[in-house]
Amino acid sequence: MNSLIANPLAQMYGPHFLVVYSVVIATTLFVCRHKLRGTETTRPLPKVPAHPDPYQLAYLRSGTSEVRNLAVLSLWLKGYFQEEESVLYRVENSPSQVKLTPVESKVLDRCWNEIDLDETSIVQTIEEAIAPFCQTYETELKAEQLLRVEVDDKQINEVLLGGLAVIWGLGGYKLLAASLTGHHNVGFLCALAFVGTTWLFFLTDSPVGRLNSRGMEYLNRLQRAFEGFQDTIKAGSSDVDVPLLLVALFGTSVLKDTAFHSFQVLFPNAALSTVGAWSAGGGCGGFGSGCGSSCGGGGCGGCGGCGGCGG
Amino acid sequence: MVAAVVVAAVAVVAAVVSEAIASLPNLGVGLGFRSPLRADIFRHQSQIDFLEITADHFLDAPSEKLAELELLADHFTLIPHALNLSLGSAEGIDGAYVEKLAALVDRVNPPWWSDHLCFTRAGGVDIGHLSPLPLTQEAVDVVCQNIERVRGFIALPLLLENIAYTVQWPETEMTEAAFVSAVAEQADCGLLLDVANLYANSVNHEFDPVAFFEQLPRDRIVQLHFAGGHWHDGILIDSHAHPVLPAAWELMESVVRSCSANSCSVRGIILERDENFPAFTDILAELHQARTLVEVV
Repeated sequence: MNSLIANPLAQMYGPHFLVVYSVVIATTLFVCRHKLRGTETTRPLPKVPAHPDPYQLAYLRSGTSEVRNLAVLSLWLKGYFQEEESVLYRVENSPSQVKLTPVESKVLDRCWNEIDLDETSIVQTIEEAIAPFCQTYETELKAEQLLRVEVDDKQINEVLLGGLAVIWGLGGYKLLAASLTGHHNVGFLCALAFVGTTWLFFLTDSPVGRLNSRGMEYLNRLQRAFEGFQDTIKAGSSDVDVPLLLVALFGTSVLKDTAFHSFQVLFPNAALSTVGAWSAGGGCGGFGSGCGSSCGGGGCGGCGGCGGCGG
Repeated sequence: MVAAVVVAAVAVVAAVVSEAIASLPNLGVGLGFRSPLRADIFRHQSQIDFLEITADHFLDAPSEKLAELELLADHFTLIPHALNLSLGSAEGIDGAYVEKLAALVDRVNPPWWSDHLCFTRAGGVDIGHLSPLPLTQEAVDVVCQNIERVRGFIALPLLLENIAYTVQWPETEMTEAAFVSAVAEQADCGLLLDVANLYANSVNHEFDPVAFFEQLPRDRIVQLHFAGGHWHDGILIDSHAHPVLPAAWELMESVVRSCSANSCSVRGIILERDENFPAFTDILAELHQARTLVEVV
């Protein structure tokens, strides 16, 4: 046992060790940060397009659930659905002259009757219809390196474990040495270890959810570029594309105080996923009370039944 | 002998800088950037060739504003347009302001930048207004000295803009056109001709704007501004808050036509709209009209 504590590190005067420990923690955090940066591409971000595909942006922000919500909103704005007493109905004489996107056509094909928002099997029905499109968005966005891929997670875990090994290893050893020599004033040592660990988790956990930091930056840029349209729709824009773009980028909360406010009322849970890039997780708000916000981007199956939606 | 050498050297340097002005790229027809227009600008980016930013909005700017600048710079050629350099101040220029301006220009890396031929500061007091200079040789010398000092910080070509004014200094030694020409030649600067300002001055002070324009060194006119104004108590105010007046369009056509006839071309035209924003389609229509005017002439 004596050999365990018979070395300069174990016998180092406490305050001196704290200084050394602080330097080691700072160096570890710096190296971890550097390693994480090294996993990110140096490719320039894609340009902000003049007419972005709102469905792709919705998928980027929050996955399948937002594509689904956006498609229903679009069909409502284009006159294919109408609202009566908090229920959406498909209009009998649909305005066939209005051009629909392939996503909207697929959703419309599955919804030919009443859409009771308390019945949630519609979620599954619609998501099955839009799954091929979402798969395409997933592929495109990964090709642009805007979404996290599995290899990212593996690298992040390696960096995290390496950092923890250094911080806890050195701190734990000193703690053991202190206890063996009868020292119990280890409060600062534990505090330093706690601070270092917290910072390490913060560093490795920064690319929250589906988006990597590049994806978050791109989404932030899109939001910054088009956020001014919120004033446009409050003023009553007749251009359907504008509210769609805004909801794709910000979620349905942007419809508050606008002529489209009733959609937000119809989909109260959709507002739960109204987040910026900084918290764009999988998100499965929207239809029905059975869908929480814990699903990943690849679809939210099992959220209950679908009412009145054929297909 | 020494004097002759000095004169020749100055002439050579001036010729080289003039060549820099002559070789400036053609940027097309663009818009003065204002934040409320940002979403529409990105939505219609293919119809806007470049943007002019008000430099002062990005000096000492918070990170949010700098992120906006970075976003704009990634999508458009940006021309910084300063307001508060006060090139006509006899007390000299504000070194701290110029340093910040130089940092902005360096960040944006434009083909040129611009400020106004005026003063905005006197006796250490910020006037908060673009004020006209006395039309004297002494004022020409002051401006040229200040420009020389600015060039120590910013080497890129500087354009000087004619301002709109409602008052004039009582004692003058030359016409305004002669004054602008003297500064441009002596300091070897390009000119940013604000057609709306020229038109407003010509109406308010009763002179012929075309005759004014023809006295200017046309090969130094690099950029044009155009904007709308409104009448107030018999005075045309250059408010940038209304559609461009038909007479201002006619004047701009004369300017472009005259430049074209004299084998010099304007490299950029900017529409200024600061408030009372109309539907963006109206702004695009004015840009289109300017573009058509350049193409036809």
